[in-house]
Amino acid sequence: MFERLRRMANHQTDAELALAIARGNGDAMAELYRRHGPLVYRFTLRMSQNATIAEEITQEVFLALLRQPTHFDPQRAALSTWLCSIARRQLWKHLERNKRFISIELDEEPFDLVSPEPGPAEWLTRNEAIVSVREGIDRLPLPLKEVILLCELEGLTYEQAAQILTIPIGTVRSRLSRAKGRLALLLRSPAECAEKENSQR
Amino acid sequence: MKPSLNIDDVLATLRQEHRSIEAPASLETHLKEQTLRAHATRPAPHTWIWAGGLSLAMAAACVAGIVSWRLNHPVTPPEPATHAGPPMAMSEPPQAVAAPFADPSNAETVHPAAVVSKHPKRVRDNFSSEDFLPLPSSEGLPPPSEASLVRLRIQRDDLRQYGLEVPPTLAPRTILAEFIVGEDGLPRSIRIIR
Repeated sequence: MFERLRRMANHQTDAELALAIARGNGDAMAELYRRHGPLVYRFTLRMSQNATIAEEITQEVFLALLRQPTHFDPQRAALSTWLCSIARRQLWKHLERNKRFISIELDEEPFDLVSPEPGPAEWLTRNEAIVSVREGIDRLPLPLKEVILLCELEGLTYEQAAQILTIPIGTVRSRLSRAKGRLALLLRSPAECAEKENSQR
Repeated sequence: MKPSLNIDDVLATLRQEHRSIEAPASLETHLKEQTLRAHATRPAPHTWIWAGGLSLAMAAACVAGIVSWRLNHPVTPPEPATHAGPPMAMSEPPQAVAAPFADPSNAETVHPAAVVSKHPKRVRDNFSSEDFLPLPSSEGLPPPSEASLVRLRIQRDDLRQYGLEVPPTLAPRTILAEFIVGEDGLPRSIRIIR
């Protein structure tokens, strides 16, 4: 019987489940969490790099849906987008409160993005490249990092990312391009980097 | 020398790795409990509907009570003409009829304490009396300096608003009556014609 109820819940839209939550349906909440919880949790986890904070914020996001279900308007945005935008607001509040976020001008190069491997002999293997890019994402300025997370790792559209980040689609595109450009530098050999630097001079 | 890796390939690999991260299962149970608890403590929408309906019913009952009380205790009875149009005839000159009221010394006789009653006065034997019967509804009104005689046909039950109750056995459904009306438009006395 529970399986049948669960299958019924699976066929309901997000808006229907949100209404059911307002009526106190715990199964609807569980279903929505299964659908969108991972996205919210992954996003907050990668942004905060702290599992406890990510868990707290994820919980707060879904409780916000429980407290104010009417704030979600299915005509304006998908539920995943709405939840993610709440998560982002909570996350930035948290980072600012705990002084963990240092505003960095996007035009500046905040850190050395050249591969940590020094010599040409230690040319990157594929695994090393993956590790290097993963670390590079974590070291990106937060505005670039959130674009990479949403568009590249979560596979959201530019429009969805723009809704979550409350910025124009053009800004999403330009930030993504810059973020990918920085990460691409990590894959170049020092020789290629030097060559590029010379050509820029 | 190995060719450089493509950033898109690396990001695709990282995407798979990233999307394998699952949200904590413990949160699902917690959120489910919170949902049930929140609904249990929150008043259901139909409770508000019931409360609103009950309030409206109470308000309606109050209004009905006030209207009923006002009908049984009229302060300003409606214009006699509204019952049956203009007076049919003047049987006596107004001044002559009004004379007893004009004299303050006679005012006591016009408004005897016995006539004063908060409840409709039940008309019995004097129903077909030729004399004017002071209306209980005129209790406390000052004696008029001028008066008019108004004859009209009135519903038997409408006499209640003047403080008179005529049993159905004593009178037909409609009654021809004469009212002595003061200059303030308020009736003071009534005489039943038939």
